Amino acid sequence: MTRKHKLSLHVDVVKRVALLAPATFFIALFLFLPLSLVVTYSFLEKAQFGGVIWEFSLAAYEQLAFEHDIFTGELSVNLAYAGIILRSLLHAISATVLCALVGVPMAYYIATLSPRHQSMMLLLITVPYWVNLLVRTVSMLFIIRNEGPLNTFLIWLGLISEPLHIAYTNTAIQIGLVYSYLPFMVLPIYAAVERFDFRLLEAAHDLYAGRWTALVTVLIPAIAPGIVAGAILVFIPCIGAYIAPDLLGGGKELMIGNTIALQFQSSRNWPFGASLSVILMSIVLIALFLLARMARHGKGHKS
Amino acid sequence: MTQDSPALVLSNVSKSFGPVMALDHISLEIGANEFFTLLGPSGCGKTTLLRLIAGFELANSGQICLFGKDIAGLPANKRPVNTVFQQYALFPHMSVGENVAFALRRLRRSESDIKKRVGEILETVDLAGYQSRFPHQLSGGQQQRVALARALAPAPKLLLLDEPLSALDLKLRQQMRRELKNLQHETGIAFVFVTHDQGEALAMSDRIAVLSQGELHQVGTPKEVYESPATRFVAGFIGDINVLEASVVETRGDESICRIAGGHIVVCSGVAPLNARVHIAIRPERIKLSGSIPLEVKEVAYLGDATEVTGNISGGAELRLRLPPGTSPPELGATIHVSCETRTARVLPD
Amino acid sequence: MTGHSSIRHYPGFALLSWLALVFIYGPILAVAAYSFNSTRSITVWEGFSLDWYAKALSNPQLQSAAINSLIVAVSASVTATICAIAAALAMARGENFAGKRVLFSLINLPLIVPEIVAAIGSLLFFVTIGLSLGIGSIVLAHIVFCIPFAYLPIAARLRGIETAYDEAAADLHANRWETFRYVLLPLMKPGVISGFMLAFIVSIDDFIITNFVAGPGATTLPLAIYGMVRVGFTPEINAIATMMLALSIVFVVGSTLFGRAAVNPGKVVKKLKEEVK
Repeated sequence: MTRKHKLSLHVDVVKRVALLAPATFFIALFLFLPLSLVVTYSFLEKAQFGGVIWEFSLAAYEQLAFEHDIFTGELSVNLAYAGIILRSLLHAISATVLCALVGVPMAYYIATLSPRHQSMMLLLITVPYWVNLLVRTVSMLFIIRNEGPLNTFLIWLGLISEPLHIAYTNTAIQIGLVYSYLPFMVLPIYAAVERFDFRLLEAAHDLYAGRWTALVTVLIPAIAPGIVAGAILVFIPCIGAYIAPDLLGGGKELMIGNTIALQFQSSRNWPFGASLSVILMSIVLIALFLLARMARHGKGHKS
Repeated sequence: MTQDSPALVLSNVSKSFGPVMALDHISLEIGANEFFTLLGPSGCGKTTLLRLIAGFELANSGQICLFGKDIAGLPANKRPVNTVFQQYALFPHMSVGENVAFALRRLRRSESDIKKRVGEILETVDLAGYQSRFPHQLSGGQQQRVALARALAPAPKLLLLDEPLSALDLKLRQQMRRELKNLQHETGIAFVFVTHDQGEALAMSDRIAVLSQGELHQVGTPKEVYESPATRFVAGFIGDINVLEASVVETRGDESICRIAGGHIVVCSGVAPLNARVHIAIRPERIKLSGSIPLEVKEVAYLGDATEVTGNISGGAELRLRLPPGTSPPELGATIHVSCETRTARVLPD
Repeated sequence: MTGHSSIRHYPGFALLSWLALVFIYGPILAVAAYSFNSTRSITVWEGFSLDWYAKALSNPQLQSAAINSLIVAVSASVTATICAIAAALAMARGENFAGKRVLFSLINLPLIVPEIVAAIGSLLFFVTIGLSLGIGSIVLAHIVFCIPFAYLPIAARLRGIETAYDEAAADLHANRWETFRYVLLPLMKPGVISGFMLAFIVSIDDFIITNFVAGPGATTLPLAIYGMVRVGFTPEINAIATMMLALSIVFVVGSTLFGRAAVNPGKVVKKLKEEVK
């Protein structure tokens, strides 16, 4: 290659770096760096009234499972936070399962509609998702609270005599999570059903399988990758949810998200908030890793 | 800049994409007022070569000299060369006038100059008054003229055309062939035309370069390339051809006397060593319905402007004849006797 | 013998789907409906009224919150859109370069990180570098998550623009900047608008991150609504919530429509029948 050729290629690289710089600058500086800071803070000592002392300490991680007796200094097991993490996992898994139970039939139904109706239904499902999550959660709270329309309606119907205390319970959080993230489940499953060859169902029927048997033995396995993708896309926001447990759970039923927030508000334990964040991020990364592996396996499969 | 100095000289130009060698040491010259065609099947490298001249790719080695100046290191936007793209690539958000004026604006010509030039060039391509139309309002033929006008507006030293007629239907294509030829004469600049259609190449070109798999097989006038193909590939690619095995029994100046299967003698043009086994090429229209070579007729096809007769000669080889209109065709299954017009068969180098 | 369609039909699926839609739209439609009720009552409908909207619109706290939201959203989405255009040019034009996948992950990183972690991370960062919290800190944090939302429609649009246009522009003596300004940018316009609208609404709607990095006096609309809900439900909340819902829907639908525009209006198919000239 002549020297001039090398020169023009070099210029290309410089231009590319310059173009990527602004976006990279903002995200690296105001997200990536802060995340590293979170990890760092989890290994520091907490200061009296919020903030940190820059000294290495594993206290934040210790606090996840243990506590010091304030008088004797003895270490004993404290399962409170383990309980919160467990509750969060259960909420996320339960919401995911509920979304799947609704999502599979719904995606199937949409995929069997005429093409014009399909795009209309998909639009109908996705538009609410894009609407302000806070406002949507507030709407759900509005409905299910004691003086809300749901209870009023049920009392008016005579089905109940006293309002159902749904708000500020775990049930409310579940409802809120499913309400928030159902579209995330429907869309990937819909994509999988769309690719599904319906003649396989007919073949199964031909071999004397009833329609429900065919559903379980033929359809579900074929669209399994879509279900898994949807599950992970629901699980990840659920495990890190903040608004749903805060508003609908009334701050009484805590999930990881609220507990983290608490450390930066009244509890004033920043390193502990950081260590909880590290735990949450780890769970999310594991879920993402599984999703990536599923995607790679899916590409290798012949449909 | 005299009329004699070549417009473009390529010396040992090579280009590879990873392990694939797209162009292998290509050298050729294009005259200043020539309609020059790069011809070959898809994948032969003709489009790559065009893109190298335009500046969209960088050659791995070799020189590209435009009127004596090496442009291989110049980026595309600095070369006085313009391109008519296969899909025209007219800017859809700009009017015809804006499209044509684009290069002139980038070259900072004055507004009055631009307006005048745009009017001029649109008139040359027969689209006078179309300045305010938009590309999507035009037919395919009109779009192509706009593409031509746009490329010619900045008065390039060389015009490159990448299969510009392939998107048009037959009638329009024939009409555009004539118009492109006229345009080249009118503007007086060299046109480098890429096509895979050998009929088009023969009809339009002053000279043709035949490429295959990155190699240059032959450069010559249409007549040279058709009547004296330099390689077997050229012989087979341009027009229809019969290829027979033969051995050289006598050499006489620039002729070779060859014997084919069945012992028949054919006088061929082209030099080959005595007793060598060679391939000879015979054009179907050069075979006469008289002679000593027996042919068993297998197929007779009436084409309107000719009759095609296909049959077997001794040794099993197949021969195709092309008889002019008015000749009474032979019967199927009959054995006729044929021969070649003298010196029209050609020895092919391997 | 049953026809082909019947084996595909599962009883109950349609019903379940429509019930799910009722579930999804019910709460927001109810909130909207009650915002027009002239009384506070849930049980009684007194008549159509825009009183609560008037009350919400004249509420000084909501007014200043709306102004803050607007300032933040415009600043963040404009900056994010510019960053996204530049990044899309680098990513969608040109061969694969080393680290392309890494950069793609970086651009989409804000979509993966749980908002609460991003929120406290940003808080820690601002505290550590000594940046005082206010509108500025909100804008900086918003730019980060606005970038991927702006990027996706812009990059998609750019990928749909054939490189033949770039080559034609260069052939006609345009340098890269001129190619961008006179050819690419005009053709990218619908994608840019779509990305901007998405970034804008995502910024207006954000709650969690804003909650943690806002300084005193830098309240935005979501923060104000949250504060009001904490105190107790009033029809005024219904009104402001409905307005935000409408705003979101308008922007999202608008963004989708712009994202669907075709590059070539009435593109002529290759081998169509030509009329002569």
